Amino acid sequence: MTGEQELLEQAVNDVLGEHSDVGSVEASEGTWSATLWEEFSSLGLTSIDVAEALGGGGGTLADAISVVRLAGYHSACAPIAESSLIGAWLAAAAGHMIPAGPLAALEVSALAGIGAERMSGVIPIVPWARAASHFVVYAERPGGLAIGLVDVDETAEHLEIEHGTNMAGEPRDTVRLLELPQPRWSTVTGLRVADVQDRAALARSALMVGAMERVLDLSLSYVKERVQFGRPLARLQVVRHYLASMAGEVVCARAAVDAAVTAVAGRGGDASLAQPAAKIRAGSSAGVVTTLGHQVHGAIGFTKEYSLNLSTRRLWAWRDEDGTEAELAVRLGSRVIETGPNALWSRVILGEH
Amino acid sequence: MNHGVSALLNLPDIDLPAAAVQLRSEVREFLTAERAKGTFIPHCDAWHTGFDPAFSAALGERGWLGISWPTKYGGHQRSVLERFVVTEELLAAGAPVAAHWVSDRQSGPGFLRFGTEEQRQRFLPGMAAGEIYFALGISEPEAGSDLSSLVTRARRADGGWILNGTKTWTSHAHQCHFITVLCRTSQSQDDRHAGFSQLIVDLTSPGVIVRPIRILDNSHHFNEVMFDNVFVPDDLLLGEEGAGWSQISAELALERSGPERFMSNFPLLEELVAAVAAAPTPQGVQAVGELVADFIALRRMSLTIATAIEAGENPSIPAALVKDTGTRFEQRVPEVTRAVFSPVQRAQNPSLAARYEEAVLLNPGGKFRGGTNEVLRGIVAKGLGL
Ligand SMILES: Cc1cc2nc3c(=O)[nH]c(=O)nc-3n(C[C@H](O)[C@H](O)[C@H](O)COP(=O)(O)OP(=O)(O)OC[C@H]3O[C@@H](n4cnc5c(N)ncnc54)[C@H](O)[C@@H]3O)c2cc1C
Repeated sequence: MTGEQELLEQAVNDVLGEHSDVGSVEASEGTWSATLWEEFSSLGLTSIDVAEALGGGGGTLADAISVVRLAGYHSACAPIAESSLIGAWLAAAAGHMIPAGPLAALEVSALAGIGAERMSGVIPIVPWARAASHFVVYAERPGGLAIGLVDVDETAEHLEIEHGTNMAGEPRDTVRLLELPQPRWSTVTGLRVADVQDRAALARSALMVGAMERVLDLSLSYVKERVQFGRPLARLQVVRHYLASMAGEVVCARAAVDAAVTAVAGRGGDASLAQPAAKIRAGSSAGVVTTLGHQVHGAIGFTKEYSLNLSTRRLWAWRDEDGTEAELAVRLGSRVIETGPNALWSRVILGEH
Repeated sequence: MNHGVSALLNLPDIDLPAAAVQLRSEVREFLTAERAKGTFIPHCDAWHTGFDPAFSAALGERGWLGISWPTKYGGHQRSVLERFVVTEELLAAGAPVAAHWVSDRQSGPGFLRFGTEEQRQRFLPGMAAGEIYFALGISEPEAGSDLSSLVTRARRADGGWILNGTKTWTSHAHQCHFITVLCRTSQSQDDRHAGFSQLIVDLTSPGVIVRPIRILDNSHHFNEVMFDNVFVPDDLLLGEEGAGWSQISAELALERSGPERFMSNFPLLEELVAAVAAAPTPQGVQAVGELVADFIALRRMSLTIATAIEAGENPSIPAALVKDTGTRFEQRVPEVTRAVFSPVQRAQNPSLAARYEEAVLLNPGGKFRGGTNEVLRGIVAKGLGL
């Protein structure tokens, strides 16, 4: 990690740490923390890897991902990952200045009236839709992705947002477009809906790695403190092995995310393979880490008073979002076998062309 | 807030140097040509079982062994990352590299760290040429994971040592020139790890008896090596008398993170992917996706650790994790193969069937060699502060 990245992580930890105790997080579940968003936004952390000319921070994807990982670590109750890595990225790709408020991306490829003057339709399970100041709508067109920006306040009479949550109490709303006037569309050539899905999978994986690191940290502290049979749980071999297995899962998932970041940056590997791979890896690691994390905590971990559940409930929700392991393995597997014969090593693993 | 773990697992970002990229294409070109000539066919576990002196010498001739060692010892003074690239290309090809593997990975670096100038001059150039092979004399009949209980012993004699004892599970001792023996040179009452030393023994010395032990595929790989009053001259003590324990721990820690810890079954994985591509089924495609996802993650872990080593760090905990996670991954490859393809389907695809069978028969060893996975998890737990 570069010194700059360390400073960035320190700053993010300071902000998020204030909001990550059980009380604060639970108070924000079922809704979201506008205060947290404001603090993040004032520090320029909501569009880190967007060009400065468009109001972003001009940083790298690696920087943005490390912030998202920390948001996952602290169970941040704000659309950090979704707005910065998907919303702002899409808006910037289409050349829009990045608005200050949270952005929620909506895929509208299949909606009625998409070619006409107004469009209508229902988009389910939109992360943090109620928090959004703007929707970034996008649709697949021949040759590229059409992207438009919708100001929520200005178009309020054409929008209906029905609240829902995932099992961690994070907003997952249903958005209804009611004869919404067409936004100004820009078409980004070469970009596909599949690319958005891949990036969403990567963003989700980064959140998950953060949450897994929290579970591991909590478990390590707990087994050192909790005494049974006259000694800390940490002295029992089976418990020690559980912790080592968890660490292996966390490191491996983190490596998968890092590999995807490197691939997206064009510095080795194939991004269309490495991004779904990151989510597959994060999903399967999350299964092990949540199971063992709860196992070593016993009953206390099963309570809402203790903070373990903030991370484990998120992990269970997140592993089902932006592609389950099974869905993504089919996607990845199909892409692998399409690369042609004798390509596993050179093209799939190394990303050579 | 406890960021201890995250910090421990923080590893450097990676960019392979341009020289490594160039080197990769040279190595690959060579391997493609050798395969076309029929020098070898890809085998699972070939880094461990494919003992081929001519092939090792050919690699040495091209400058691909002892890559990161100083030129004055026959090395090539290139980076650890260049070594990584050569290593992974050899593994991806399933090439027969077992003859020099231990010397290149372990014994050579051991001499660079702990050896005398004279020892380096004597052994390293031959190792880098792919002509001198070393075996590892660590395990004993009564000392496996618990090495502190080993009983092979050397006592002082005029101008050297007299060695007595028995080593076992010694890979390729019957084909190697030397063996590094971990033995007791003194007895300590209170410190279980004190009093060990490493001696280099010429396998042709009088009193050395090498007896074959067959492994599951019926090949002669393991040996029992007996030392009956073998004289070892003073100048073949490696490092310090009494420091054998810490020397070998350092050696083993670095040994664990290489790509051989998850690529042993790469030739089978390649057959599996090709077979699924030829006749895709939903189950097959999903299985390929799952395996490739894990592979990408493991390669990244291993490459990051090589980068950290290059930067002078000692990432022994992540290294132990690579071996634990990596060996579990590679052992899944044959299991997935049999889930996706029935015995009849496998029988119709002879190279898939052959790689499957060798993977199954050689698999169990992966989680023992270099320290068992259970022992490694103990090391990781300790590293996590438990
Ligand atoms: C393919 C292969 C090549 C090898 N090559 C060499 C070589 O060249 N030179 C050499 O010296 N050795 C070699 N070995 C030996 C290898 O290092 C040993 O097998 C290994 O150290 C384990 O020792 P063991 O077989 O006696 O098993 P044991 O130590 O008897 O272990 C048996 C089982 O008990 C478990 N166990 C033991 N202690 C603990 C503990 N504290 N906590 C939890 N579980 C425990 C182990 O994990 C294992 O599952 C090789 C082994 C293999 C498989």
